[in-house]
Amino acid sequence: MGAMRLVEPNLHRVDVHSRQMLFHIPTSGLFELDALSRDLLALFDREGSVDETALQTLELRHSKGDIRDTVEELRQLEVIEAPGQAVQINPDPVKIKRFPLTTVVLNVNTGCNLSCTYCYKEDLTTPSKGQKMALNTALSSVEMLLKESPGQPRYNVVFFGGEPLSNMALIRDVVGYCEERFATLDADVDFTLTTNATLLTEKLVDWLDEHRVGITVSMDGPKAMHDKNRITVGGQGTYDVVKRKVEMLLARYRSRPVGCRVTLTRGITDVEAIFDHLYHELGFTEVGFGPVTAGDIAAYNLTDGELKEVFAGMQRLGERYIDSAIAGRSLGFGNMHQLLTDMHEGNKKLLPCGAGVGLLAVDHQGGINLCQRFTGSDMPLFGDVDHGIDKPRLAEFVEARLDRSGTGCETCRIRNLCSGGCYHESYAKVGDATQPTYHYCDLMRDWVDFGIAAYSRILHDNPSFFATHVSPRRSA
Amino acid sequence: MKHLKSLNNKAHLLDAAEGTDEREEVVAMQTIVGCTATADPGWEIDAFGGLASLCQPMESDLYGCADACWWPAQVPDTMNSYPEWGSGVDKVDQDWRRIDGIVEDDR
Repeated sequence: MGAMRLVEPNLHRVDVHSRQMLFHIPTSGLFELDALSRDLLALFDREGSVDETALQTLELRHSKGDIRDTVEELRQLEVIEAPGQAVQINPDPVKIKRFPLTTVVLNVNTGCNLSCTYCYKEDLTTPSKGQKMALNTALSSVEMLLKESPGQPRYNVVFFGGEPLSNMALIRDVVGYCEERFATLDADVDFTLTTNATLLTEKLVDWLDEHRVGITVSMDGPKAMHDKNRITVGGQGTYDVVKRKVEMLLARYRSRPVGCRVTLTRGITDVEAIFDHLYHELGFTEVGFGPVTAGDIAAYNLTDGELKEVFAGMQRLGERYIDSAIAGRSLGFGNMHQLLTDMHEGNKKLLPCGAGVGLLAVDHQGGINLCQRFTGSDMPLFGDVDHGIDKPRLAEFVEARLDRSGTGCETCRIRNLCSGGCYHESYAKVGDATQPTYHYCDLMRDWVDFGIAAYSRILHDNPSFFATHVSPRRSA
Repeated sequence: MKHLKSLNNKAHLLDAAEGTDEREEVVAMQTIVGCTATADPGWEIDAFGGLASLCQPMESDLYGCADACWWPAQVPDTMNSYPEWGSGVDKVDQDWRRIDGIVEDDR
């Protein structure tokens, strides 16, 4: 055998206290290295290429047979390569022919009664100018979903806006239609919406509860932080009314857990204080954070320094998640829960999200967009609900993102977890949704390393946590 | 594998496939369509994660219906009303025979 080399893009090592983990990038498998495999990889680090003579230096501490076995294990994983061995870094390119859609997002009204300063919705307008989706368009969207992707066991219909509750008449009609329509198909249908909560009433909550419409509330934290950006069209802060509505919602609504989504913008970076308020004081089941880094209005984007602060705060909150997990409790920190679910399963993502493959969004006129973030944007539509999906163009887009060659993702160690990031962030930042988002790669890699260490620590101290709180309750 | 200790589920699958021709299948396995790891652009659609690639067996979803997750079904709600419902019967695939029902009058 000639000299062997490390296949750097296929392995990543993370030290966790005195132990060392090997993250196997092509599969997202996570291993703990023993003394020999550590020594062997360290030998490659020192020597670059390793031949039989170099391997013999390990025989001072390890047996020849064990060394041979370890080399073989690492070769099988394509973490080291021998001359002439073909190793694969990324999957071969594929042609997309099928779109296994399960989700349609309906932009039921472009109008919103709030005018949050940072809102990314390109078609957003005030309630009086709001363009409401017609019932026909909504029903055609549902029929398009069924026509383009028949035979799925479960479908999701998502109501988005604007503020979706400002077009409740449509939501009621669509829910009624779907409940009957999907029952005849022996398929389940699931409804969700994201709301600013201001329009909720007891009667409305009871109706949403009865139809098990999943609810996410957009809320940004304690009063001072929330009121900084989440204001009415007239400019008033909305915290007091939102808090009152949320307390009513959480007290009445029983069918599903209610989560909260926090938008982090310039000047709002205190992840822990926000979490404590929303989770411990108001009682949301889960709180997740979305940092704004590529909004249209640059003044609201987190600065580089703030983004670092946000990730540092997420790690501090993550430490609390770890402490809880070791004590056998699950803390409702959404981003962390998702990261650990991916870690535990060893999930791989060749695309960053389901947009364009499992999910499409319909604008108020019936135009098909990649996701709700693109409705009203200048990005050309991918067909419309009456004529169906423009599959060649959609395939072309998805294939462009699947092909990592020549991008910064090609050999990145988190390429199968981050997969290049949000389409809309790229679109907003550089005008091209087929490009990866490059502006916080280092922070994302740190966050994933944090996840690897967190997973290893929890598994070591309380191995049953994942079987109890993550596997049975996983979300992806 | 002797010198690499499998930690997560994928690593265990890889280990089990060692020396067989199934390894390539494991490499391709669990390639999901889901949200990217953090800044989570799709998160706002459903607070509790994915909209695609949902898990199949009821066992893997049961508590997803009951507590900090996203799935709607007629099971007791462990967040507010019956926090103890799942206690001691956490591993649904093994414990399902012991999971009890609730009669409203018992409250």
